[in-house]
Amino acid sequence: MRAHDEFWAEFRERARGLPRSEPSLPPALPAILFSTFLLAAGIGVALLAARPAGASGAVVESLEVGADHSGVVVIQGNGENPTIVWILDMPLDQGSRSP
Amino acid sequence: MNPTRIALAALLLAAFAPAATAGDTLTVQLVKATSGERSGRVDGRLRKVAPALERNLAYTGFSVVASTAMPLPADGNPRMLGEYRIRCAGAQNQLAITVENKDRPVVKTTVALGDRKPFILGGLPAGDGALMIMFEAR
Repeated sequence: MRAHDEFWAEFRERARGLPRSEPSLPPALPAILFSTFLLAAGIGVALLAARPAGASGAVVESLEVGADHSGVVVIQGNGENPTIVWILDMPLDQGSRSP
Repeated sequence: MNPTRIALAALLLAAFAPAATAGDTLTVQLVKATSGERSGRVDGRLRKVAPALERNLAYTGFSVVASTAMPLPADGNPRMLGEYRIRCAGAQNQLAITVENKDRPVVKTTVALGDRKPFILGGLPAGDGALMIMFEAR
């Protein structure tokens, strides 16, 4: 029993010597971090909104050829490549269909 | 700085960013495409699009014959490029283009142009090649 008592006495003694951390709330987010977060979010939204609508190139919404031709080839642009609309076999006197 | 002010500034930036980055000038170039032994020269002003043109078209020479520029949104007033009368009207994302030759309609189209994303309307006849009109908002 003596050894048992000594053990626990020493245990309690050592436990008293250990540093104790008080329970606490995390520190409030500093205003500068909050502002930085808002600014970064704003810039991110701005960059997303500012992406060109035609990121894949110019988009042809309508096309009407008034001259004689045998067809039209549309090559959709992407990245740096231009969008190309090529009218096939238009005669030199184009517009001859019109009166 | 007051976080509220920063938040407001960020929101304003987001709201006006698209307008600030949209092109404000439309350039229109009449380009002649040629092929054959005497061809093969590419106008320096077309350096950016030349690889795509050479890859997709049966021509090796490209030169700017005439060019013009106008503010965006385009006012619809006619401009002459060579023998062609070009009318552009409207905003960059809804640009109405009319090409006429000798008062005859050749092509009428509506396109949505991206910034610095050229749109090329080609196949217009030329004696020893073909003509194309390149539109670019910047």
